[in-house]
Amino acid sequence: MKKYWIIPAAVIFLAAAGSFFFLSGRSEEARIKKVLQTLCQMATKRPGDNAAAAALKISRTDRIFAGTFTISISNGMFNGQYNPTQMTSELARYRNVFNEVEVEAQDIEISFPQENHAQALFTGVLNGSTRNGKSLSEARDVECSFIKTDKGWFITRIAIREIMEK
Amino acid sequence: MFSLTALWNRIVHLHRSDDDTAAATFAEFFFPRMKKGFFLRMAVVAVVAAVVCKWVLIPCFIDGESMMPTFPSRGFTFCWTGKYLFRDPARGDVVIVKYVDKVFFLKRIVALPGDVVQFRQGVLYVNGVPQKEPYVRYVSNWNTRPVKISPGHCFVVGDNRSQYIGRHRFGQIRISRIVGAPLF
Repeated sequence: MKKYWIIPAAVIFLAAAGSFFFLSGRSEEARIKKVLQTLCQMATKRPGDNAAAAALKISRTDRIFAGTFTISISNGMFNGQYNPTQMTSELARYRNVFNEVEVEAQDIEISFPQENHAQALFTGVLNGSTRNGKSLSEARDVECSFIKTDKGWFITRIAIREIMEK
Repeated sequence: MFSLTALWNRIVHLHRSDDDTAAATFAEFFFPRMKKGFFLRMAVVAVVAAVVCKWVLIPCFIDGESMMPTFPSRGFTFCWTGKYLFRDPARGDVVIVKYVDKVFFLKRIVALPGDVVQFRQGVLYVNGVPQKEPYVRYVSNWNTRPVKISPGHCFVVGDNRSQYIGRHRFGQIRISRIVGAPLF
């Protein structure tokens, strides 16, 4: 009977090892995913969010964006170069448009084209309602480029496209 | 008088008999004894079914007219994810494309990376050559600008080109969005 304890023990050991690997964020992929998660949190506005909490949330742009970075949106008007301070004010303006909004990154694919550089492809999903009561549910292809410095991974470029581009 | 208790007693009685009559086999199959082995088998079946439905044969409800008449506007199929494990998607393949979580599109690949695609009066041109598409049965008057397909992308469109061009979702997608093909 004793031998049957090996199976649950092995399962528990593997689960613990896997959890340690992923939760400790040791892999570079996990760190990049964390940056994307922070970006989504910045763009998310919940009904109970007060102004102070929102200001604190979006003031952290310098932790995820490089000194200068590019935004490229197909058929968009926000194309151009930005710095983290400009991004903070743009985020404040964007959040002001919505009553509530949730932004999520799905199906993240990360590649490392060269040393200290990374690229993430994912589906950006936005669900929310604007101040004038209009509901929005949109999904786009998002491509993010990253550069690694001593302080971690920083976004250098964001390109947003239609999932099916006619 | 018929009661559930009487039925249960009957089932228990059948189980207690050691014979292999049809009635006993029937009772064992439809009313198995709640023993450790039964729960273990149930757990294995549940895990295998969950794995298969999540990663191998994803059940999909079809809701939309974009692939008519090849696929009905309402129907059911499975997405066979193994289709492109050992070969690349090709022109003419019907594929299932992931949009967001739990939302997929059923489309046909008409062009591959490097091709130039255009619709002129409803006729599909690939690299300037009009394509014969026997699966397209409805009349179309679509006109689009020529589009060159980027590396790592392909061009997908539904078979029902009679829909208003603004309503029909088609275009260039990342090949990595293709999750498989319909099983039937």
